[in-house]
Amino acid sequence: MKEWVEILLRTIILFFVTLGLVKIRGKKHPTKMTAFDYISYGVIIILVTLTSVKIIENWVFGVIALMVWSLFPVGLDYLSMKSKMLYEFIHGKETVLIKNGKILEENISKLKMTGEDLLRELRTKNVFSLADVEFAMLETTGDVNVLLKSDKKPITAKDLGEKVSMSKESQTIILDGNIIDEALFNAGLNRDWVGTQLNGMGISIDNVFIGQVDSSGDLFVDLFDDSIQHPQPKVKDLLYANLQKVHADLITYSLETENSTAKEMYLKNIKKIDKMIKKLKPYLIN
Amino acid sequence: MTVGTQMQQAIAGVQSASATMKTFALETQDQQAKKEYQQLAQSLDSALQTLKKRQQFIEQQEPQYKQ
Repeated sequence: MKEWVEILLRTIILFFVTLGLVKIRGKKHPTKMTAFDYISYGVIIILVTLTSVKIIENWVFGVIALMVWSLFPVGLDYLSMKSKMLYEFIHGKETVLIKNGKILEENISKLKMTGEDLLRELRTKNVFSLADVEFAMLETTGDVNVLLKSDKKPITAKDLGEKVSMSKESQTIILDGNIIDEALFNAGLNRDWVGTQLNGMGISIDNVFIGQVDSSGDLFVDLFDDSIQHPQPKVKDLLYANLQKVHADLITYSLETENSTAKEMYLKNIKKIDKMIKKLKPYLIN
Repeated sequence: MTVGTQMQQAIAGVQSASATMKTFALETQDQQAKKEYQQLAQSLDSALQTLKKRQQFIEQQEPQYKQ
């Protein structure tokens, strides 16, 4: 056999074998790998390269080594799912860098980390002042994760004492002008509904690049033709403004009327609307 | 008409105006107008807050104004 044919064959076969082996290794993202994962991938890369260009003459040897290096980590991963000790032995243990707002110098020097390294890692997490950090941990992947002091944390609806409606993920129901039936079904809608909505906006389906339905049933569309002005769903805001207007109008009427029964009726209804506004606010304003 | 009622009337008027501005802001297609309406609604809202505080104060001072 000619040399180049052999190399071609080896490369093609190894190409698919490696593809399969990487699939078996699973979905770990390269940036989330531990040091040992890197090493095993590195060895696999070298073995595949050397075998395919015939630096390792006997392809059987190459494949044996390849199999060991790619299948053993899978086995170890499986075993470390069962045993925490083994997991920590293979992947290492995460280290606390900052606790109660104080840097743990021994842990940092054990990791051969300098103060500058720590500050750089904190800056990548958008923390520029050490005073804001309550707790920081070095993960086994080398990432530093930071818990900010509670007064420096981003404010949430709970901090403000506001109630918010539970919003679920939006469903993408139109892509490239095609309706995705599965997503439509998940959102509990059908093609007729989409047609009505698009008709209401005066858009044809061919012009829609992406269409998403949010949990409250509003359809948001992005068009291919960006020059077309089309109304985006504002139904909820409009309803809220109208409710407020009704509330204010009722107060005016109740003040202006001379008739005491009418006045009572207005007052009763003002209270009703007030309650309604309070109840609906989290759903209408998001 | 007592001061308390007048106050209530003023509050209702401002609230109604603010709600109207919000509706206009949502309904108009003109971006410039939309911005202006939103600004108006905001300043009306802050006026509303001030008036409500004032009303509370008045009611504290003169409990008979409370209906």
